[in-house]
Amino acid sequence: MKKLILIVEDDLDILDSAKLFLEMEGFEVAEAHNGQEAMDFLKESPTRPSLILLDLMMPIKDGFDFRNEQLDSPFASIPVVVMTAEGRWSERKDQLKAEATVKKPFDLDRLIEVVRQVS
Amino acid sequence: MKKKLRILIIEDSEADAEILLRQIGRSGYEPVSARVETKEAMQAALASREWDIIIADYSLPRFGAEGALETLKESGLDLPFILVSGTVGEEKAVRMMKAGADDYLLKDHLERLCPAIEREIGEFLNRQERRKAEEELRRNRNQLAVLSEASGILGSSLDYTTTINRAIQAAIPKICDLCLVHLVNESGTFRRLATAHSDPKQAVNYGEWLDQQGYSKALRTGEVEILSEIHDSELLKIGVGSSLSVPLMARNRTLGSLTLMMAESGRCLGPSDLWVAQEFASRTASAIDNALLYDEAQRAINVRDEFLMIASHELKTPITSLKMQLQLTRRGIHPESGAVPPANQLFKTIDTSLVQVDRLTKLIEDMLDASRMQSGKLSFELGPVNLGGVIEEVLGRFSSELASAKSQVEIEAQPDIIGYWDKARIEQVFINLISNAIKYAPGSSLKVSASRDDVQAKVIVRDTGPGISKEKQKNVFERFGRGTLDHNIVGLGLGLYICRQIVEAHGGTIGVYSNEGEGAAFIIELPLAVDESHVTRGISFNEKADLDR
Repeated sequence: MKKLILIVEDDLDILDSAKLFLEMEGFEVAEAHNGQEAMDFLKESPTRPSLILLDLMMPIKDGFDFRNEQLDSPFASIPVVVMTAEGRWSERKDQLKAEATVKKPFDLDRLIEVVRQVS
Repeated sequence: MKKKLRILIIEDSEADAEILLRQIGRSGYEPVSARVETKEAMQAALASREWDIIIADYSLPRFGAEGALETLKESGLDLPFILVSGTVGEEKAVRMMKAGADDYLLKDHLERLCPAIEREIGEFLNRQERRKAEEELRRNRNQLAVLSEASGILGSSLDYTTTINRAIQAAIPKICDLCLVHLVNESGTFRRLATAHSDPKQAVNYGEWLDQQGYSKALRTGEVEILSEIHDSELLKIGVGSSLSVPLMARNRTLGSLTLMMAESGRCLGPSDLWVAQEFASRTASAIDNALLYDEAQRAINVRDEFLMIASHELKTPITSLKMQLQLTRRGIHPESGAVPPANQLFKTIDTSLVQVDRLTKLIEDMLDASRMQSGKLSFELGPVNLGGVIEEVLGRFSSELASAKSQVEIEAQPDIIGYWDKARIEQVFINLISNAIKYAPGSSLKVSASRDDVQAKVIVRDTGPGISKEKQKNVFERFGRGTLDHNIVGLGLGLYICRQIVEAHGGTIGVYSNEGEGAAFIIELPLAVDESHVTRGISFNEKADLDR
């Protein structure tokens, strides 16, 4: 059975490309455009994602607020990889208690390596 | 005309005193005199009025010249003292001179009296002048010492509250008994920044008491106020005898005031103290202004750093997508076998990549535009522009985004609104406004209405989205004014700033009307013809439209 990855990203082009890539690599992919949609998905989905790829700067509810809510929810154990364009990725990883960070613009080899490791 | 001479005569014989006064009267003086024969009477006379000279007989039954000289010294007054006697011998006369008498003469040689009086009064006046000059020199030295010390303190740190409190303490007691500094707040109200007195507790008391009495003219009007003699009974009650207030001025702005006051010392402030007060005030004002400028510069640096962080993030978004598209395409190409991704996939990839390039280009152009606008290096190409046409064209360009965002669009435009504007820049205004509406109010209704009168065109771009709070409305048209701390909304925060620069360069106005939760309406008013004299911030206008741009 394919592992499910939830991508939380507000930029549709990045989201589409990442989804296409991960599906090509054999994963099932669900998408959410902001932290609120992501939380709604987790509550409603019959399948629990193996990994959440989380962007930080999003409208409605950003990555920080989502992660805080997730850590205080029944979904706290789902590992998170943070996708960030900022320089402070190491700081963000610790701050968000993430398994890893992938820096934007992504290197797809790095992305798939992290996804396979963490999921 | 006879010159008045105020003489205090120490003499028990009224007749002898009369002889003296007649001699003096014959020499061209008009004597105004009093005769005393006891220490107490002399003390009372010295205290009651001013005298020009004292003439004393050597020996009186209950007093004498030696006692009189002693009494004069005790009074602290400096007056010429001439001993006149019929009986004093040379030895006693010399002793009296050594004790401080200025001259002595015998009663049977009174023809020498007036020359002696003139000489001694002349000497006395010289002494007075010398003392005044020395006093002035001492005062100047004190004033310069205070200014020097204060300058050192004021320049030692940008924490002007601390340095001013320390600096004004240097003025006590050399140039005043009490010193206060008040500042004008941004709201226009006043506050006391610093108070100095030799007794810190008294400083607090004076400061609080004076706060209740209202503020100096210098603070209220920016004008110097010198009160050499206080008549205000309330101030007199607390012991303040004179005051001098000067405004603190920097770059033609009144920052506050510096007030010097005399209290317990009984000294007086006057016009001769103005220069030191103004020098002190000037240095104090510079210290405050420098600190404010530094804060301003720091804030600008922080805003710039925040902007660079946001810009870096925003630029990376289309670059991320571009890189992913290229990597995905590369993965689909196998040089050994010649396999390539299907044409429709390649087509879609290239399309998406081109969109990202356009996004990047727009971001960079916005940044450059904002920078050029800030430094006044933007040029405009004027020509006839059909406003309704521009609006329809821009909405057409955004049709797919509007559809994706599920925004309902309505246009209500009077026909044939033709203005003399820069078409590309006016388009840019509507591109930014529509783009904002999609970003900030997705799914809402969007209505664009355009009308005109004889002089100007008016456009309202109204959405039914979340609206803009009153707080954010204050700086929404500034650079990075989208609220740089609000990470929920992405973007450079330059769109509305650019809109404002373009509209205002055309002589128009742009504003927003919004309540939170009730959508936002952006209202633009554009003169139909740009006044060529309206060249703002170095923006230049060219007559011919450049078709290649």
